[in-house]
Amino acid sequence: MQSWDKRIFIAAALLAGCQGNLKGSGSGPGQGNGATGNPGLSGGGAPGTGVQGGPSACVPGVPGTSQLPRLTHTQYDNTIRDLLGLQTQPSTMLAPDTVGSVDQRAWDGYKLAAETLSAAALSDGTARARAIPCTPTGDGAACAHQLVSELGARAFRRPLTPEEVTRFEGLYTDRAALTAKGTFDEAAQLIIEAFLKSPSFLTRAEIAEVPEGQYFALSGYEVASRLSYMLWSSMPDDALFAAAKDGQLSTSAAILAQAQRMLADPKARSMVSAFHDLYAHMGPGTRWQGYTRDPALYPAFTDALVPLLSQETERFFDYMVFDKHATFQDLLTSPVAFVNASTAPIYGLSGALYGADLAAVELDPAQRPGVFTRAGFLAANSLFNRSSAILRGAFLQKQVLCRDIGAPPPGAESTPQPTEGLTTNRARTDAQTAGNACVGCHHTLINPTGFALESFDAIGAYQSNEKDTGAAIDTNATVALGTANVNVKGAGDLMQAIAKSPEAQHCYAQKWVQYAYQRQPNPADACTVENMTTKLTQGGYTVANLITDLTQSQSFRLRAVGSEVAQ
Amino acid sequence: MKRRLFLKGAAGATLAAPFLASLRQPSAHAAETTAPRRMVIFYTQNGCLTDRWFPKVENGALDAAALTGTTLDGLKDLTAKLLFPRGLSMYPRGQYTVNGTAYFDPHDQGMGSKLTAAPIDPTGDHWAMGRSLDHVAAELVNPGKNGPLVVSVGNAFANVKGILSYKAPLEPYAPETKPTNVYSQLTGLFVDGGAMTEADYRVKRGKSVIDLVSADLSTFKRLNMSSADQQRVDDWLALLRETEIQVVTAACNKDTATMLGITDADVKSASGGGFGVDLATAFTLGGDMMMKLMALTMMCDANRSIVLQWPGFVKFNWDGIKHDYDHHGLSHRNGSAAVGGTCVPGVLDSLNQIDNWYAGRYAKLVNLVNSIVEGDRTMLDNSAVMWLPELADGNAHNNNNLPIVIAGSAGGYLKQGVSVSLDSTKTLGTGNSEAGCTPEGGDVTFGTGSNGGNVPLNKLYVTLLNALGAKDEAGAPIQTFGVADSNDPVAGITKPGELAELKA
Repeated sequence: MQSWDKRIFIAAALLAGCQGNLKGSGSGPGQGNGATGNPGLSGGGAPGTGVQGGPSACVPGVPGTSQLPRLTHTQYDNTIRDLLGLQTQPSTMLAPDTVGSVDQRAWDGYKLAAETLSAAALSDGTARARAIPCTPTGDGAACAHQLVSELGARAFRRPLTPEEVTRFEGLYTDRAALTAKGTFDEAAQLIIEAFLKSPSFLTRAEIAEVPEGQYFALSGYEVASRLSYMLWSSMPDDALFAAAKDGQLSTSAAILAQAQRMLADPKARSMVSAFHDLYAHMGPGTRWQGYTRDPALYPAFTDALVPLLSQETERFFDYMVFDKHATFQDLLTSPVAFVNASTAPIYGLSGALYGADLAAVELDPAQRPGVFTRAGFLAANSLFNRSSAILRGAFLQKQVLCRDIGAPPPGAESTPQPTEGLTTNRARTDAQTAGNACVGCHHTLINPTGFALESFDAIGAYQSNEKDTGAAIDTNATVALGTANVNVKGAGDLMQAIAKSPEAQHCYAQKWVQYAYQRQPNPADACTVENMTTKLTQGGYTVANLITDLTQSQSFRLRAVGSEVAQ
Repeated sequence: MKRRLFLKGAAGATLAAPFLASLRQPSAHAAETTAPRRMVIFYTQNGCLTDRWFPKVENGALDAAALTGTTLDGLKDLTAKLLFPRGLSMYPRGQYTVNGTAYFDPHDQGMGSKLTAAPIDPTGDHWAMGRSLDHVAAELVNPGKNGPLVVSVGNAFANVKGILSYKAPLEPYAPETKPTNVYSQLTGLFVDGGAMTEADYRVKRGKSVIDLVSADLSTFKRLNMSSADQQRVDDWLALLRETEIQVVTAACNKDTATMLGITDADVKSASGGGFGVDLATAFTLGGDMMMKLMALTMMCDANRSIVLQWPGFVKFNWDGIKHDYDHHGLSHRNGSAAVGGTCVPGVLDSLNQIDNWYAGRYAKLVNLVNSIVEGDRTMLDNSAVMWLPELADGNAHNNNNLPIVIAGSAGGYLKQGVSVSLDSTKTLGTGNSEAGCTPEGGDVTFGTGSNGGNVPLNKLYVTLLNALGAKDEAGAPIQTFGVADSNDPVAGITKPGELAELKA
């Protein structure tokens, strides 16, 4: 998991304006739309008016961004795969991702990786054939020139300037002094090593300075890189390079067509999966990893179940987005689930009907609507021997509804749960959080949201009575959704209500914008978020539509110099 | 069988590595004839059973009997080279506010504040607000001023619970987790059969690549960029100039590596493990290999400031230990991250197994470093190899009366063969780790910590920096370390100075 991703998602929950509009005072003045009039979102629609009909008019703008963002680990691995055909996870040689300056550790990592990869590129026959486009004849200079021009253009993701070509060719000319024996292959290895150590490879440099209004327009090659790194976490393919070369990436319509093509490519699936991992707070270092459950209460629980429950969730998201062309509402309400022999019993299905592989089933939509009534989410947000209304309720409020609840006071998490005279987890939870410092957030916002999910135990199986006392479980609750209070009978009502709520749609759109653009919520992106939220609420707008629309904002095609917004 | 490895050539004889002559005037360090002094920090998490860990002598000379039957029994034959500084406490800790905001998590503090003696940020990611000891030491004593070597066994969380080292306030410095990477960077320093001259193609090759990279960056410099981007470009250019210089010893070669048990094949088989993959390999083969690589680093004099982190959220399943709960859960006595409740049956025995396992690793490291002859001493005598814990007792989460041991005198600077009580007002005692739990279970009690032992850890760090030969800008010994030495982050350093009681 990349560290910047986590920062973005933690910050989103704390931004007080997340529930409604971000009043734009923006980093760019309102006239930034320029000649295109509106940001050109597919499907038409005027630039954002307030979702709730309240204070409206976000001010469109382009935020200040770094011109030299470095490749992340995922991007580095994928780029090397596509550039050299090597799939060796070379990012393990690199320092962790940061947005600051290259430091000692980072530079050592880049050097080590470049030296290792360039050697591998020459020693592996397939990789060598891919990297070296010709057979050297005579003194080899012509082939070296071709290598530098062609591989260089792919490594730097733009044609090399004549000066750059000369410089890198110089490594070939001086090969007798710079390599052990002065052979063509040794020189080629040195050239590749030099490409891989270059900032023009290591950063997605945005250096074209063609003014458009008070911003700069990205060059076609720079737009190509934005498209490929956003949708594939990798370098552009030949089709994108050709479109850039022909000057065809300067209109929103052309960009949209490419985005649609690229989203249909299998390379896009891991980007969507990674987003939903972050959305659900799944992945390494999260609650979804390494938990155990009380063997006395859950004798069927094994360590092997834990990764399966993450996999069922990831399958769900992938299937819904790519196979079912789902909307956001579908993610929260669909009865589809993925089970195998081990997980089927959690859903009351017979394990004997399934094999080791995950298979799609349909559950009761009233009891199990959407991803947040699947065992993965429910089990991860539970404790050793009981469900946790607090974990589930807090997650839904903060991460799905983007409600700013703030942090608990120091030491709150060690507050013991009283059990004396209390027979249900619900009653005990309310008693545990009855203190002055707790009751405000817990009794009105967090706990009721979680109580609606009390019908699922600590491994996500349905329960109607408490395991220790036998008391009946009551899932009726009054849940705060934004400014509204909604009475729900249980999980079914709750998910339908959240799926429809403007807050949840705005939150989902906001998180996509942050993830795709790799920056914190900021006024300049507000209109993009508002426009998407409007479309999400109108219905029929799939997650795939949303993703391709991310390429349609002004800030996708233009850049601004100035104070950078937080990443 | 104990083998003595020798540093080839005269003690501290150095050879200029590739780029020294061409990029910079030869430094005074090239003429150094005394052995370098190094600091190695061996760091474990989740505390220990303190009553079994401390030696039986609290203030006085140590003999084998003082360690017999304790967790450090494996080092009882080496007490002549050990120093126990008793009565130290980490600051700041507990419940404090920064800019009016409060945040308290003893694990975040145990990690973030341990080497920084700075408060952690109550907002955001809770990073520490100070620079850590390993970075300060590296800058002051590494000849190339290169950053410290910070490694972790297996993987490491990239958040406050996994980060010990900070290159600047709020700037975490992630540990290297793959032995192959540490190895590859060392092999790049190897000198085979003699000095590298300017005429060597590797020298020219390196320069050529630097020239190309600099040219690339210089193109960026000409753009109309934000000041943040200009800073990035300038920092990168500065890095190219400064860090291509590395002076290594004559012993820094493949034969030495092979003698230490480091070959391409060994490194590869030790690097296969990690979190979620094969933790057992990471902790056994990987941990051993990291320690060998640390010894090689010291022999190469590639780094004089080294940190080895052992992660805390691991379930032991190797070397005859097979637990149902992870170390963190066991340290809470109840098998989970919650506080209180019922003890897992046999939890104290389980913790004892873990403590003994780590003690075995520490002893292995100390013995390895001690097996390397350096002039008329051993490499251990010229180093300070310190076992530093995240917490004292893992259930009480206390950070006073810390169980710390230092092996080696750092070139004769530190006392040896003694336990020195720094808090002379009363007996410190060995804590109360075994309270509450019984072999069958029992109730977790919060009384497993100890009282007293509140001398600021900052002062130990000052002592160590001086032991390494660090000097301040005026050329005088170091006087202070860290941001604060009390539970009030704003009060700053109230007790400057080193610990004279620890000096030989």
